[in-house]
Amino acid sequence: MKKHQDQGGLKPEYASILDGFYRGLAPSGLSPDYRAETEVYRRRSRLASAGRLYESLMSASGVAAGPRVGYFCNLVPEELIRACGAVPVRLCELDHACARLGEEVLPGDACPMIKSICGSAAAGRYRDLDLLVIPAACDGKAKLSELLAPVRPVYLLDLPRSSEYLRNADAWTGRYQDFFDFLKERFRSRAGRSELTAECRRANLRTQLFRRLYHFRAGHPGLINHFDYFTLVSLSFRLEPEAWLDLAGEILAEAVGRAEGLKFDGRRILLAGSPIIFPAYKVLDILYEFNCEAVADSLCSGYGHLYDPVEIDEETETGIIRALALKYLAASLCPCFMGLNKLLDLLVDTTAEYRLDGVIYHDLRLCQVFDMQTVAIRQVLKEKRIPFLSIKTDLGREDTGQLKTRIEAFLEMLG
Amino acid sequence: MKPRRRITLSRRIIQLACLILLVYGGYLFKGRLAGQEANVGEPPGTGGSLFPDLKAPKGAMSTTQFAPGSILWPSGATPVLENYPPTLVCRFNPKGGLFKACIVHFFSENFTWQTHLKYLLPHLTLFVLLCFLLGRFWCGWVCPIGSLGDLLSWLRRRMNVPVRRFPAGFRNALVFSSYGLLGATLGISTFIGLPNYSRFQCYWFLPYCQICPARLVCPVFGLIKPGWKDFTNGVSATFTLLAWLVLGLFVAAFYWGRRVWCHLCPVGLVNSWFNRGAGLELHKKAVKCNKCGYCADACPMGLTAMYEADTDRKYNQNGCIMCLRCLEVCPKDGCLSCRFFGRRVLESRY
Repeated sequence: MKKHQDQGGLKPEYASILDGFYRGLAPSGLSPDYRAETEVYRRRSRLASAGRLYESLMSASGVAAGPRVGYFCNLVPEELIRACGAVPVRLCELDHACARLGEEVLPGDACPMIKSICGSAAAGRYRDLDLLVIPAACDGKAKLSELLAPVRPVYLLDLPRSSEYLRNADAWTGRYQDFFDFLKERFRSRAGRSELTAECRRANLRTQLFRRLYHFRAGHPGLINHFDYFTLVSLSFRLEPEAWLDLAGEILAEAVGRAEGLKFDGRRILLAGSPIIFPAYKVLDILYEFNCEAVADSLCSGYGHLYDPVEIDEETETGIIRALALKYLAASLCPCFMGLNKLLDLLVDTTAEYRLDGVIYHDLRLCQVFDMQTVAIRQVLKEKRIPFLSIKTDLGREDTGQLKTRIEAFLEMLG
Repeated sequence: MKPRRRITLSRRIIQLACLILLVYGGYLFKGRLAGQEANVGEPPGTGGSLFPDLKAPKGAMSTTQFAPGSILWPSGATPVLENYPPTLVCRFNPKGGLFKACIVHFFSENFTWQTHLKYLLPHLTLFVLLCFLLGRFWCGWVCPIGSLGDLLSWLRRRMNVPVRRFPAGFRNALVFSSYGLLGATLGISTFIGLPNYSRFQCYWFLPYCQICPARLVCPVFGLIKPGWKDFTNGVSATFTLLAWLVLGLFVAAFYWGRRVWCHLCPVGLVNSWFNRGAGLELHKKAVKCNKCGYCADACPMGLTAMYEADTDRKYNQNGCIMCLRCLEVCPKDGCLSCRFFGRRVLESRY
């Protein structure tokens, strides 16, 4: 095992002091109960198979046994973790209760996701994990590698923060290779290219089904509604690909069977911006109320998590790791990785291809990078005559009324 | 991943077929399509064929004159067809091969012989026509030497050795050297064809062929020992050493760098002049691109123009061998497309 400084983290002495503080914050732990929310969304779904979908949110079935590796962001290759025999769990979460606890740890003007994560960590929800992998995406995530170090061992995946392929491909490959070597050592695995190829194939199967589902939703809005969709993607954060395929396949099959003669008289919009993860469906709730469907998105908890495949060009170990780097980093839409060109292209192309009514930009308050690029998106979409609404919100429900007014006005403006 | 390898699979099948056809054509078709025996001294075009059988004038050096053991042997065999396609078909194929020779051989030989333009014109027209039709598609899908190189690359991948990616500067230097090689070849060939300098012909004839790795590799297919060394005098010895060096470079380039060699190949260079105007075109719809870089990563020639492209238009690069690998690996539906005279033939699909 390498020294803790190499992986990110704190000296044992400091870590234990901080750990004592965390344990004092939530001595009884915190286990949010989402039964009420699940019931609401299950009833809203038009599909019978959605029952199983929302049950899976509550149960632990479909999660493989083995050492569990928690990771954040869509920048950590699951395939590498799986190849080493560990189980990747994406921990990104947006939970109001956890965020409130997180405010005891972090300043109030930190981003809601970071607060939520910190709250969860302080409440002891990560203590059954074997390792935390934190990419240095935004400043908040990078800093978490130190703040979460008392909770579990942390690996800081330090990445050059630009998604320019020509300049960074070699550097990315190197970082991922280091990460893979670390994982192999940590989990005593002898994984090589055959394991990596197999994992890439599993992930690609998921991508194939996801793409079919994504295109189906654009053509048949409302059948698989946006709650089902985002719940499905949230589930892929921890389910094994096969379990996820089973679930999503059932939903898609039922939807395809019922697509005949279906009419949708609402609005179809593209949702861009900050991630939306169960149970933080406030914006989706409002859209649903106005019979507006988010049929496409550019979120890292939606399109960004599952749409891009791994395309192995050279089946050498380095070649596969490089292909993973391109999938996760070069194609990344994360505003931390300067992917504004790609995002604008995606917005313009998708709205034209699916003839969508407009773009709604969901901006979680206090995330600087998402906020800063709004101006560029607004101006470009204005020039392209694509209706655009930017909404700034957080996890609380206090601003629901105000959001409703703005969204209603926007939808009315669409004519 | 099932439908994703269709292009590469068809390419491999075509490459293998072309390798067999072009190299063993001499064995396969001899007796049915064979032309007349080489009759040195007669003017070309006497056979009444559309494509005249180009022959050496009296007193000039010709490839039929070399004996076993000399550096330009075996080259005397008559090919099945007297044509020069835009790909590396070697004069040194066992039994002559299907076609006569590559375009560099054609130029070198005929510049030395000072063949009249009217005999060259039919051959040149066919060559230019084929080039305009498909561009460097010939390099990527037909060239037997390129196919062999791909086999070397495959071997490397099997051995889990990562590919070496050479910087653009290095690749440009290779293209520059290629111009040098072609220029020197044509210069020497013209010079030794001048009346007063014909005495140099016996050592300086076909200068590029003397160092070309295809000359050493092709005879091996027919289990014939190529003329791999000649130390009788300084010129031949230099050519022998150069040939070894180039062969080493050739193997190393294909093994570590995929198609890096093809930047240096003068036949590829001549083809590349037609690439931008060729009927076969690569297009990009820039708004669909997600900048994943898979196209640039997969390009065996190391070209990045397709990745960098920001506007919708044709992107035929000089170096592009039309292997369509970029189109195959592109994960965005309809982003890259291949057109033939404006008609959409293939497009990227995941």
